[in-house]
Amino acid sequence: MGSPCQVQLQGEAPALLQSVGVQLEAEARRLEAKYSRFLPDSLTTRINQAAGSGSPVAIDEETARLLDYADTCWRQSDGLFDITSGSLRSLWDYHDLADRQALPTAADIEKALVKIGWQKVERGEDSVALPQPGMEIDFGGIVKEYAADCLATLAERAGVASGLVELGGDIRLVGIVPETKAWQVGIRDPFDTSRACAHISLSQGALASSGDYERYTVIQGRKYSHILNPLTGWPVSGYSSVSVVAEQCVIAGTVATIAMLRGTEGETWLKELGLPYLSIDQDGRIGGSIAGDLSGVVNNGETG
Amino acid sequence: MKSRQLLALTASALALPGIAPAARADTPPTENTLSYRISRYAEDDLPGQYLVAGSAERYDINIHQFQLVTPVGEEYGLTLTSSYESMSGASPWFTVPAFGDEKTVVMSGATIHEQRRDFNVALRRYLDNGNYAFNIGASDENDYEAWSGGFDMARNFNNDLTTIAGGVSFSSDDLSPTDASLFNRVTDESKRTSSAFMSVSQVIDRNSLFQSSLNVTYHSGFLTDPYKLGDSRPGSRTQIAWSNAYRRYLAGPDAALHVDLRLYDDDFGINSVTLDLSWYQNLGDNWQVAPRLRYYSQSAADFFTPVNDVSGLLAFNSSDYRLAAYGAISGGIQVQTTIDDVTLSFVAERYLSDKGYSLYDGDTSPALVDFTRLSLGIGYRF
Repeated sequence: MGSPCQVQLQGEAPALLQSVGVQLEAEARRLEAKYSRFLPDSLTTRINQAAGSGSPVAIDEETARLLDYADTCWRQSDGLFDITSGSLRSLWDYHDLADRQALPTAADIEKALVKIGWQKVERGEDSVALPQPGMEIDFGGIVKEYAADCLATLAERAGVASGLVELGGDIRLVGIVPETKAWQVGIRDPFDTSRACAHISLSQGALASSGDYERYTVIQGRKYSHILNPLTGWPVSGYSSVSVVAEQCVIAGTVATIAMLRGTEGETWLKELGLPYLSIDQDGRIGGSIAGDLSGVVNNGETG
Repeated sequence: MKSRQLLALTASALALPGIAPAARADTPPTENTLSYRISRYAEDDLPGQYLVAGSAERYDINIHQFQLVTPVGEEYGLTLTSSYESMSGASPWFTVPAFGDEKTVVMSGATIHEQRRDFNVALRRYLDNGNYAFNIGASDENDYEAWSGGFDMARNFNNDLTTIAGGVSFSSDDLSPTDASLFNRVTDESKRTSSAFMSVSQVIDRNSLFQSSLNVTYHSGFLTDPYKLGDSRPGSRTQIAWSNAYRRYLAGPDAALHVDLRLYDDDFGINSVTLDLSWYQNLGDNWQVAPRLRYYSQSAADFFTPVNDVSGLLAFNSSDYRLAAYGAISGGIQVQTTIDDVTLSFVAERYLSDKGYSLYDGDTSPALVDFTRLSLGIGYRF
């Protein structure tokens, strides 16, 4: 999954837990092999390589439903959550722009935006085609969280009473535990990702975060985040990180991402959805419906 | 209430394969469970002012129940259930008018001693998306014999979030009342019962479940109580019951709330409503305490008369308190603990019935029953 993963399972039968653990690892590897855009023979790579060729790529049920989910996110975010927006990334390359101290030109952005747009993707029930050469899709904002849900569900179905699945910081619990035994989950400090800036207790469901963790570009003295608006091609300025609690990790993850993409409107979106969340703004101020006693300021490793 | 955006995301997320909450998986038993329960059911004595003749001591019943659940092969589970009841006491025989509006009860004179044995076997097959089972049973008393059988099935849909179940059952009962010639009772009668149900359960979210079911039962044959004097009831009865159950787990207190509402109607003219509230509180890993409160009320049967008709003018007539208008409140508590492979449980329940608790107008009976039930159970997994 390109990031550290861990699974903790609790139960009375060690043999069961061991065998479930093996199944979960196999499931995580299956999803990575299928959807990673970095692997040369993944389905994602094949879809991207066929872009502009005119020949649709056959997809299975699981992929069709993931594309449906991406479509729902795109609609609910008014086009901000767009799995075709990957080509903006190279335009706003962290090192390159910082080295040159230059912003991308309007022409560069215009050129990149041509290859972006979920509405341009040609979908059949069992096939997908990207119409423009160089256009690409990236399941990165969905599949890691979906995998956490799949693993937890597999464990529940196998009879594991409780546990925790963490894939690169996104968490989905197995089963339900009483609040007295809730899992204490750390929220990553966006200014020092090696530490947690807050802990929240979780007795069921999932917690996922989205943030611009250290990934910003300083050009001519101004900070540009790496949260990119696929409609304008420009970085968005809003939260520094958002963590959302939901029943499914995939929902927590996409809601957090959309809140980041909405920039200054992120708070309105989170309040409308009504899911518990914790936000940290550019000045390190903690807010959100589960901030509670945690309210304070996080800045360069200091909790105020 | 979820926002429109969240509903859209949730619907789309739940369509992803492998993401739906793991509902109740249909899995066969993987180990044996042997359990035994002893219960004591004691009706309060009839208050003295209502008694004109017979014994004031009403029924006491001791019940012994045994159950064995065992896996058979990979897909089947076998359940054997047996119970033994011993009853003693007197039951209301008939009701006579007293002064004014008061009615008094004549109880059966001698104390009755009876035993009942019951045996049932059920074989259930578990499939990927549901299960089905056959069962047969027999029940035997010195004056009563019954055979029963049934079939039921359940099928899960919608990623196991929705379950539709249905079933049918039949029973055939033969009655041969004791002391028939002495009291001019019937000597050999029978009745048949057929019943069908259909239910839908829906997992609402990870913590809550709703179930609604409809049950129709048809009885035909001799439905009169042979031991009640002047009792005469129609030869068929159709009953319809609509039951609704809501279950919700609350992680905060680590407890589950159960709410049950049942509405009932039959062609004897009885309507009833039952509301049942239970709170299952977990205490630590091994203890559970569950207080329960139940309210019940019914209307009187069309042919119920508070005093027995002796004129012979009425085609049907009964003073059986179970056909009267009344209400009942019961409260109880269940305590359960698990120690390794052994589960111990204790139940205490107190039941009070009274015309004053009734939702319905109509005639009531002076013979309404109050009772106490105590029960102790032990289960062993191996």
